[in-house]
Amino acid sequence: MKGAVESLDLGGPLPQSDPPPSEPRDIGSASAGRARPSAPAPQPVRIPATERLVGWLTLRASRIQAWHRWPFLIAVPMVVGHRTLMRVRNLTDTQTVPPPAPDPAGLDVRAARTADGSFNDLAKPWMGMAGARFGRNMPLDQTFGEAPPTLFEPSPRLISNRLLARGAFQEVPYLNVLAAAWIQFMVHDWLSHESGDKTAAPHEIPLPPGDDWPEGRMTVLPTKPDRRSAADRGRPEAYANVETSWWDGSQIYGSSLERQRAVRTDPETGRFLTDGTLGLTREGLLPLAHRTARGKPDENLELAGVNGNWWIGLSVLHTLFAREHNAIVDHLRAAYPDGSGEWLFQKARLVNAALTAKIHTVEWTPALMNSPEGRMVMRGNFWGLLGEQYRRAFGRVGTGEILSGIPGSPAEHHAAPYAMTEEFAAVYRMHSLMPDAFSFRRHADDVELLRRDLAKVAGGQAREVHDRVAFDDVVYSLATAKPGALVLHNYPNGLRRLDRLDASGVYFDMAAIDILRDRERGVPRYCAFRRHIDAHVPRTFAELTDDPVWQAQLHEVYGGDIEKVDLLIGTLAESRSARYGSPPGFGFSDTAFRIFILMASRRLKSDRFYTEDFRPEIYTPAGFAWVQDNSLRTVLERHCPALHSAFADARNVFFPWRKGEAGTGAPSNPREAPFVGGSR
Amino acid sequence: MNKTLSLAWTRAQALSRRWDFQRLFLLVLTLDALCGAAALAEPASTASLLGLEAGSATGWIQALGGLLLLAAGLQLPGLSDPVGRRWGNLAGLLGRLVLCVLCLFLGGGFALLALVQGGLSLALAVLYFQLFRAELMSCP
Ligand code: HEM
Repeated sequence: MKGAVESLDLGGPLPQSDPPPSEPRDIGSASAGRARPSAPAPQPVRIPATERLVGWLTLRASRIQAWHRWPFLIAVPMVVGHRTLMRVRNLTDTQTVPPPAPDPAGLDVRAARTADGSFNDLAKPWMGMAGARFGRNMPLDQTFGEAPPTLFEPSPRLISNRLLARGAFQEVPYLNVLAAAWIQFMVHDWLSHESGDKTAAPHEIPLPPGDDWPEGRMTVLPTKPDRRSAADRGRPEAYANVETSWWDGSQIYGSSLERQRAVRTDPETGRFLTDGTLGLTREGLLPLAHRTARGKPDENLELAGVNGNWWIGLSVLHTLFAREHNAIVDHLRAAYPDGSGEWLFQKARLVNAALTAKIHTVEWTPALMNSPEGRMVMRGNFWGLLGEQYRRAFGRVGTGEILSGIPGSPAEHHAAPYAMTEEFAAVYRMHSLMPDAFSFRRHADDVELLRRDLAKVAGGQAREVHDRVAFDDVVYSLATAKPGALVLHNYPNGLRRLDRLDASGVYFDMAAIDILRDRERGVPRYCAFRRHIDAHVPRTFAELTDDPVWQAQLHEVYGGDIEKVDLLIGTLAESRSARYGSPPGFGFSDTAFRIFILMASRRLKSDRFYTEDFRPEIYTPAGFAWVQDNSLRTVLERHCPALHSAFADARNVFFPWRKGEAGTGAPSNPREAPFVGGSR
Repeated sequence: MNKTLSLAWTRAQALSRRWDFQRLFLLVLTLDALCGAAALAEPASTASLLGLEAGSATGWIQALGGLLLLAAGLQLPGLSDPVGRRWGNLAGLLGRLVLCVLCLFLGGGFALLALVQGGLSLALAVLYFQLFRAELMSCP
């Protein structure tokens, strides 16, 4: 890389309006008295000189005001500058002892993705594989998990009741519920922690006086930490990601060969599908698994690579992309009739995963960052400043990511081996996107067919919806409904008292769990978090949010101590801060955005199949063209052609679709709905 | 539905911004071409208009006229496809800026040229930026 340097000094951290805590973490006694972890030797970071300069200028400009308050021509380079800074400072390796990468068993690892994500980086085959650890976006000494009493201060349940519980539903007027489903679909591709540790004493979350929580106590199993070794001495707990960290469609295909075989099984015959397709029923629906991938029984639960925390939105997307896989297989088979079923499967997987990555980058994210700056940044990530048209006509110009985008540029992990991070999982806790009620309506005339609350469209009950409402009508209903806004007082109450899937009558409060998990896993609280990402750190509640009612509520719940505000609460509160908070047109906070811009680029930039091996020789020319030619719009056109008129005028298919007009359509029946999604 | 979410509406906005830009750009390129042609055909009168001594400057004036004509011709693809050929247009805008500064330094009759060029370049840049934003906001 031209103009590269070994290390980057960009002038130290942004001076803060208030002094950083004197201890490594003054929240969380767990950190107190611990040895400072021995820092792993940092990986040399190669940054081109121009980007270094932009980083340096960004640091100066952000002292004056946040990037989104500058005009377009300054704001966009500042986002690039923030990313450069974070690539140097906000990537921390936690993998003291790399897990052994299994034998790829004859798979050509250069040309296909392994089931468990190993051998993506050929020099470090364990990188990003299922079972490798979550990394960090914070310095290691800031990531010791909190322990009682601070773990429960203030009580996560109090926060759930006072700051999160949904009153009147606050919707996002410019998004549809497919957007909420999409991001969970993606999260399931990238990450999941292990199930709670049944051998450890459960956390007992204090209930505020007068709380009507069933059984009078709230217990939550601790997250199971990864096994420690001598090399972990003095270091905080680390946690394993049980999914592959790569953007490889593992939510569809699973993160193990065993799971991959399951989704490649014909539900009618129970036999392995040797033609490279995924199993679908005759109606084009997912097969039934009746249990989660972790073995929890759930009657009628559908089968997918990841089928935990299932609901009708996930069911729709998994069904669409299983059909898409099969359509890709058909297309490749027509182009390469000599290809074996296994070869077709592997190529179709590469293509399908790349298509989801493209949709996420240039459709989903710009829908949530609905401003010229947001759109420019995300399209720039994929096609560069030269744009899509240029890229398609003339190919890449040089190896840099600014002019021609990340796909096809050289792979680079920057300061740490590639891994999902705890902080990334934390900022993606976007449960407020979920509505509490769902109305299923006929696309032809918008007549309501079925109304259900959240619990009744979750788990195995999602399939009941399919049994009663045609697939197209389900898609139409989600695409015309609005998700919840990421603001305080908008956490779905259906998730605040959720029946545990495996033991009926035992409940959990996801809102309280969201707060608890971040503290337990050592994700810094809001102010400390912002301090480490070069963002303004609020000194008062008035600086955190412009809403005076919220200021008073936050002040009361956190006892007047702004440093105690949890990350999730801060990100929701900043939705109403014009100066330091969510950028105009954005559906999420600036705090989350900083982590997204780092990690969204990294998911592409670290992955060999989006960088050096993002080429027709690996994807096949027909497969490569499929990625370039398709989008979520074309996926919907292919698999739900009858809905075309509903989304034809939606600029982005994650925006609300046009509603059907009364009296215009014939009744639709699920049994009559034709399946047009390619071969099974 | 909020009209900024509509594909038809945002595309219509982008199209109308495109026409605004193309109209002005066409005018500017025509002016450039006319000036270039005049400099080629009538170097002596052009020189006197710019307050230069006709004898010594005619060669330069003709060269400048030729360059102006060439530059106008090179910008034609950017006129027909302003977004797809954005790099040519951005280079053209930058070139105009440089020319404008140069003319200001030369002073005399060139100062008037600098003012006209400067004003037109600014108007072009504003319209181009508006077109760029509108195009961006008509994408998914
Ligand atoms: C019906 C819908 C949903 C249900 C039932 C659900 C349920 C859950 C559960 C049970 C957990 C694990 C809690 C624990 O740590 O003990 C979780 C974690 C999480 N959820 Fe959801 N969720 C839903 C929708 C969503 C959506 C729309 C998003 C949007 C991004 C989301 C993002 C996450 C994230 C990032 C985590 C943390 C994962 C990890 O750290 O392993 N969820 N959810």
